[in-house]
Amino acid sequence: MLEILTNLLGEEITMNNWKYKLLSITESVEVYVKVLCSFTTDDFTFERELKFHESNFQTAEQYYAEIDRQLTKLNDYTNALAYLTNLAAENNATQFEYEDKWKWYITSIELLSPIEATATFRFYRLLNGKKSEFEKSAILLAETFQSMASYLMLFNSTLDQLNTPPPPIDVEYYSNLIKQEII
Amino acid sequence: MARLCAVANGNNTSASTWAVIDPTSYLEAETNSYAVQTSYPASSTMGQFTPGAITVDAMAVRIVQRQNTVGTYSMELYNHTDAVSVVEVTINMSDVQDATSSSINDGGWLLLKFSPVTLIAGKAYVLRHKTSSTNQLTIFNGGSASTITRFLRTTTTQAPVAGDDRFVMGEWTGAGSMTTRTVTLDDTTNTDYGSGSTSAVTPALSISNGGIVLGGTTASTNYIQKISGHVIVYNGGIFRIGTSGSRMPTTSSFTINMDCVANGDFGIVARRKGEFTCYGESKQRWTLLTADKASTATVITVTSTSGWKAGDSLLFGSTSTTASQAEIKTIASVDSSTQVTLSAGLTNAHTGTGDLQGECCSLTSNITINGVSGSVGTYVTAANSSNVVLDNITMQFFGGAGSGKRGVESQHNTSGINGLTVNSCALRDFSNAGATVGSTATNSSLYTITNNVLINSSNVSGHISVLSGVTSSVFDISSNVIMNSANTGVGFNTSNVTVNGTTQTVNNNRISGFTTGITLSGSLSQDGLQYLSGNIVHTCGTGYSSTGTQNKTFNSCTFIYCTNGISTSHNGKTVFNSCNFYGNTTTGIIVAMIQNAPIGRLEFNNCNLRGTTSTNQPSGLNVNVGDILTDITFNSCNFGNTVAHTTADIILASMQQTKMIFNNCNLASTTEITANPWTFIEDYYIGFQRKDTTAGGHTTYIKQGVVTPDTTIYRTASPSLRITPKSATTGVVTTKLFSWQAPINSGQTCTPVVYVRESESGDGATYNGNRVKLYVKANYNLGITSDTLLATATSASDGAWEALTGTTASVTDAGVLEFYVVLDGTAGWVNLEDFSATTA
Repeated sequence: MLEILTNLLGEEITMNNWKYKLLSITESVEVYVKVLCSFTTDDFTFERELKFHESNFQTAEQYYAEIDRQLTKLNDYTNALAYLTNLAAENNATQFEYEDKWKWYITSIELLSPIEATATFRFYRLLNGKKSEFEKSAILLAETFQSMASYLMLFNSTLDQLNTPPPPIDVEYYSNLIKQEII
Repeated sequence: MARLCAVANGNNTSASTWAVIDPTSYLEAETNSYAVQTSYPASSTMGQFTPGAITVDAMAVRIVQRQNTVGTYSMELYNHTDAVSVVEVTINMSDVQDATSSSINDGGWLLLKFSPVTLIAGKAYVLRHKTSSTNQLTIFNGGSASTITRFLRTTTTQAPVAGDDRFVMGEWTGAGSMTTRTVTLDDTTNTDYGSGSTSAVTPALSISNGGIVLGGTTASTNYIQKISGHVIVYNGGIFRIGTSGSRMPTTSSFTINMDCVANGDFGIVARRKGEFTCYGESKQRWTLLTADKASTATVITVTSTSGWKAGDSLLFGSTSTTASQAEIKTIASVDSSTQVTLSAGLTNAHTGTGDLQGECCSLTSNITINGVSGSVGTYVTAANSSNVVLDNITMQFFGGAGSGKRGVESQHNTSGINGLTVNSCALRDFSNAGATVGSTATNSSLYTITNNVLINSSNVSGHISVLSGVTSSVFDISSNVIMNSANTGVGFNTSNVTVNGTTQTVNNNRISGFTTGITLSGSLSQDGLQYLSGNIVHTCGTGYSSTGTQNKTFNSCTFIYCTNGISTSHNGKTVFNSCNFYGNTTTGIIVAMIQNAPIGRLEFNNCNLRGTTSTNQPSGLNVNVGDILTDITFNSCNFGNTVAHTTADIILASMQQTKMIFNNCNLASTTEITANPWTFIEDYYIGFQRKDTTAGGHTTYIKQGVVTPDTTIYRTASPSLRITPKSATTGVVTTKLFSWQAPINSGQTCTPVVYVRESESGDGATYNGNRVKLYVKANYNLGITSDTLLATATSASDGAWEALTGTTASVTDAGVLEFYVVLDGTAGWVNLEDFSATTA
């Protein structure tokens, strides 16, 4: 495992917006090797320590696949932010078309760096002509990025809760239980 | 429509079995109770009826409560017009069924038989009641003495037809002398019995004390009972289809169709001490696939096909993250004890090996109870102290709204008699809960729900719900397959229920396809322990979720192919022993504490967290903690072994006040921890001991810094303490875990010493932060009212050891002083070693 990683040091791999380079081996023990990697896009570079554990990595192909995956994830993250930014621009103009149901739109995406952004979402509804709204924000990090769908799910789950009324209280059931208690 | 009362033992379809109830005398109500006096009341005060010149041989009344068993009870048929007693029957009070109260309506009918008498046309009659002793008996009326429940049985026999209501009960002929009446349901045509009353007061089939209704069990016969109205089994009544020793013959079937018009119109209700028992042919209700099967496969191998037949419906559980991949197919042939061939190929692939063996469940039984449709359901209710056994039967289209109508519902069974048993049954397409048990009283509850398959309830509160249990309840909810193909609702739910793991068990269930697989909620004290073992939860939104305060322990449970394996916003301590969190598409464990709650603690021992060969698990642990104190401990757990987490073993999305300790854990994913674990509040930390089970593999994340032992750079002896700062603006403050202390007497000063070394390029990176500073922590008791700088490192610490030391002011009382260092930066690190403190 150590030999494979040593041979890979210095190699640079490019995929879409991002480049990847194995810089140095920072830690090596019996069951894993840690390497310092750099990820670069435009004028921005960040470093990250990655770990290659023997239970998951035995062949060079597995290492390349992991590097590919890291780069793909970064590119997906970049694309997801671009998509959300477009969405924010479009949805600001959304009209209140739905009565009695909560909806949300993205009000802004603030890019703090190519790997960190803040998104602000506004939840709203129009009920009997009266508008209710509130905002929620989320920090979107490349490091914790899973998928575009997972970002949308974050807020759709809130929407589901808002739009799902609690079940009615079953008065009969509880009154019967109380009767039994009295007996 | 006629009302018929059993008059002889025999088949349901035989005219000789039934006699017509005189309609003029019939009155049935549960409105109020009438206390029977020691003498007959004046007939003018009683409800009169004029039946005409009919011949009758029995009179009946509905019992509210047998208050005592002293003396005798008499009922008299009295000619009110002529003021003449027609007939009187007396029995012992102890002969009367021991009904307890009007609130549970268990009394049922009491029928007194006499030699046939022919009544006189045009005469008004009453039924009168008395006891030989006071306060012995109450009976139902419709609101006044004139509306006391009653009927006269005529001697006119006739076979029941569609629309008829039927009454079965024993016949008392005198003190201590009762003849039971047994009716065997032998129908093979779909006659729709019952008048269609939706009131449980006026059932379509009424079975009271001494009445026995049996399902036909002749071989090679397909029996059917279609009923419009309730079936009520009162105290002492018996409704049996097969027995445990003589089950429904394998060549026969018995079908009960409850012909509801609206959801929950009609149900089968066993009142206190009523018996409703069904025993279908034994069969393997569910088993596991033993080989992976592709989406077109027709030949299926399983652990056991015992009792399965061609034509049976098989339910295949989803073995992916998609709940709708659960599917039902039909057996074309049973090839062996481990193999069947389907009449059509599977629509979806199902795994029979690896991390999740798919469930394969039989939905077919030779006893079935059906509602009408998925939105028009019937129900079975096991009331207080009833005896209900449903064994190897199929129930479909169940559930109404409100008490007693939640599918199969058990209501407060006391310990004096058997409770509810639902074993090896298929419960499918319910419009409410599959099985609900509720109890509020202090008596024990007894119920057994084992080896069943529950599929597709539209109820959101739980396919099996245990409501308001008590600590003395005795129950077993084990080895059930609880499934929903719609990814909605809750699989298993408790509220304020203890599960002690011995007399209260929830073990070895397989739960899939729900928004939440298991919820444990309620406000029991933390001593209200819950132990759940061997349960497998898969293909759910969240495998397990809890907001309950009680302590909980999960042993050998698996959470697989959910969105979140478990999600906890709990208050009590929750322990997971030898549990698996595999292939959950967002994370294995998400910790999101609610505010304003007590401290929550989570402990994981010998657990495994990873993806599967088919499904990534982005992270093992995802902590999104708000403002609440949380202790999380992992002991000897494996993260990302064999199949790594694709984002990280541990995601710390938001950490403020959390203490997390990982002892002897293996973190095998490419990224161990994401985010900024050093952004939490001072004094909180994440500590790894023997990380990757490696000796000396210790790492501690504290505010804005990472602390590790350094075996390469040290001053006196390996290791020194290496602190890697993570912020140029916010210093690492080594209070709490990495401070050092010295006892001191009043009037003394203290001189702490620590050797520091700032890393240089030759070490691999140059420390770029401010010079290291040594502080004494404020201690108001000792007269030091603010953290005080004692010394600042100099350029002498660049790549070399420098003693950092200073002397405190003299203290004003005896106590303990605490010393710490502060550093910052974004590159390089600082080594610390040889801590000391001298008082003088």
